[in-house]
Amino acid sequence: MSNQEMMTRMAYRASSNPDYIAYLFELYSSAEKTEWSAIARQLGLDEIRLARVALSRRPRQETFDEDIERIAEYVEVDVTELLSILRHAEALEVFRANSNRTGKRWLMAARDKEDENESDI
Amino acid sequence: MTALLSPLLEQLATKFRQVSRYDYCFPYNIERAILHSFPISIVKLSKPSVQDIQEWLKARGLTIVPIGTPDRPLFGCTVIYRNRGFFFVDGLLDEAEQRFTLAHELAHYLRDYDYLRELAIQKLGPKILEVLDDERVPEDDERVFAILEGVRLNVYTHLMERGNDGSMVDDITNQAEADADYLALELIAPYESVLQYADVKPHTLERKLLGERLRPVLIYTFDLPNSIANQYATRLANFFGRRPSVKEWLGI
Repeated sequence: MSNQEMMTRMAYRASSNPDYIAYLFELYSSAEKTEWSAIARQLGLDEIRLARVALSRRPRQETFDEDIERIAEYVEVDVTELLSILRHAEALEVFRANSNRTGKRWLMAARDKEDENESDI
Repeated sequence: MTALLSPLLEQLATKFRQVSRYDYCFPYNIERAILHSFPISIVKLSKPSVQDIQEWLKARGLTIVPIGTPDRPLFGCTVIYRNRGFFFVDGLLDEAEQRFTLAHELAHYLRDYDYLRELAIQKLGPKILEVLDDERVPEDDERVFAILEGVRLNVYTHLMERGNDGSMVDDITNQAEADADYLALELIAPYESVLQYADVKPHTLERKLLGERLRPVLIYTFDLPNSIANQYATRLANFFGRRPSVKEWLGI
């Protein structure tokens, strides 16, 4: 088995462990019906570097910025693109975990498409 | 009026600049700032409506409390729960309109969620997060302290209600939307920076002239949508413009 195959296999195995970024990649992949290869393209990574990101531990909330910077440096990935995937996956994770809650502690707000002349700034 | 922004909006804008390590580069990249600094995903949909957003969430197995308003088209929408969530924006809008829309949604998050949450934690301690995140109901002493400290535990807000004619249904929603617009502008076009780029000192230029000077700056430097730029220029001119002297007013 090549190094690349081994790393890819490890990354897929890690996708069931919430402590790893692989878990978030898998969440994103299944929700958005997109393959990991598409995630790699979005991040500008080849399979080995994608696997390296996937096998990194999830950024901790208390040191989020530092953890992300460290991963980005380790793999040379665009931080903004990585964040767009991770933020999305984390929101999906929280919403799904709480789908049975009937609490009302939500924020819902909108900017309506109205006649522009009616805006009042 | 003694200040352009209320103390709360000034406070929120200041905090945003600290958290986001504001770079004062314009047009401001609010999308990047949101992703880097807040636990929120940005989702671009084509001409979304209220119903489209509900269906988007449902398609991903995400159950939320019913939005419960008639369907209508949106520039953008915010859905936040347990300090995670989504800013939806119409991806077919031009960059200026997308920028302002995202700033407006972020303003709602800062004013109508993050600030209230932080206030509750500050006044009642970190354990109150269990209540704010729907893990338990508040204990009696927490309810009492919340009332005494002026903290809302049923903190969060549904600001999507509109009347059948699209009008705001109550003063709370009306004020929230107005504040979201004012704060949004301060996030992507801070008034001090606008005056600086227009090379104008406060109260030195007559209002009409000031408005004419500010308008192109807001459109071309800060890349605001034209209608928003016009209204903001008028507001800034009314606040920072010099009132005409009696002679000027009489035209003599």
